[in-house]
Amino acid sequence: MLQFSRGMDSGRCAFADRYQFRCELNWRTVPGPPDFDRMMSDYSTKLSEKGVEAPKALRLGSWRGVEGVRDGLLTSHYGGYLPGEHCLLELVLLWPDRKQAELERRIISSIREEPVMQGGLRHWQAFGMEAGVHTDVAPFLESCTVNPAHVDMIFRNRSKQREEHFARRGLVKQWLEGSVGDWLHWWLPKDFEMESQTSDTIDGHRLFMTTGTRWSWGIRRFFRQRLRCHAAAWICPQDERLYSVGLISHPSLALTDARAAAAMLSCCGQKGLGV
Amino acid sequence: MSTTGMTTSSGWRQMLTAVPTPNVSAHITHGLSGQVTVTVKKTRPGFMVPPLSWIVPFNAERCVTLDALGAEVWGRCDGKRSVEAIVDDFAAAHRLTFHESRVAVTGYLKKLIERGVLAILLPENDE
Repeated sequence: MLQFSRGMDSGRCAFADRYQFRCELNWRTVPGPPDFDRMMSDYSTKLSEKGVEAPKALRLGSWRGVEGVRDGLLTSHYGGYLPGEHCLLELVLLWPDRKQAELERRIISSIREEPVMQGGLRHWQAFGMEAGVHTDVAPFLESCTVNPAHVDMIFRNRSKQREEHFARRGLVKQWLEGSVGDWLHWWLPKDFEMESQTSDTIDGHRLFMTTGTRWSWGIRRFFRQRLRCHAAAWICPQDERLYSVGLISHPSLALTDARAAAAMLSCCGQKGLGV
Repeated sequence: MSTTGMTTSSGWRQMLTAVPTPNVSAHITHGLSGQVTVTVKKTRPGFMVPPLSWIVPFNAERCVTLDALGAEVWGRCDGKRSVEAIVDDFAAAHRLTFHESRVAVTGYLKKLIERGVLAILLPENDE
């Protein structure tokens, strides 16, 4: 994935092979299901105007589409609708060599609504990370930083009472000095005092877990208001990447400990390490 | 629905077929912790004559210091390997995906080209 949007209401992701963009997914929330017949007719006209030669109608499950040649390149455009999310989707696939119908079918069948997981978590998968994000923060991807071998995603709910950080870093041997535990201490957000740090080995993964607290200032401190952070980090022996997860919340919302935090991020097919 | 914003051009294919070639006058110094310093001589511009050169000093050399990873990329620029081959080698050496490696490698190459220590040769049959 080389381009992405963070917005849940509308956005776009674009995927590429090593030479060019091959797939684009656009989404937009709409009040109700669209009139696909009319939409596809309008869409065909629009594509013809944009230079797509001889658009051909397509249908794959509930998805409706148009296929045509644009700038000498066979392109499939599909439209779909996710009723649970009230989300209208457009999928565009470019076929530089030849169309791969089976691949197209697999891509389309993989686009679906994800049910809420056990523990009230939503499934997020991107940039080599597979995370379970709490439902109250899952729609709010506040930031997503993608650099070569370094991805950092932060979810934060509107009241800013809960934050969830997920990160995956590569080239670990090049930059990590000291232990993962030391790094995790450094990774704790600013002003958090570390209260405890433990470690454990699970399926060959050396897991470091830490808990920290940040006290509020002024009158809030008088009422003993504070934020709690549970964080965990490990290096996956299979892909040699450093995975880290941090949950920051008001103690009344802190349903988890550091081990439970580790369970929210998976690597190498391990479904969360803290369980 | 929107229509695609994807580029339908050849993308970055041409860039991948290019062959980075070191400046023949580059002088290499190996430092501690895998660092490499590449030094190339600069041509004195015609206007750099007294009295201007008395006021504006002319440095006859340009230095680029590369960290261990940059040094690795530099080491692979032998005038034979294409950018794609260098990206593949770098990805395999550091367990990166192709695009992670591409961004890292092209970042280093850009820096080296800007400093004049590396030139890029494009295949003749390309436009």
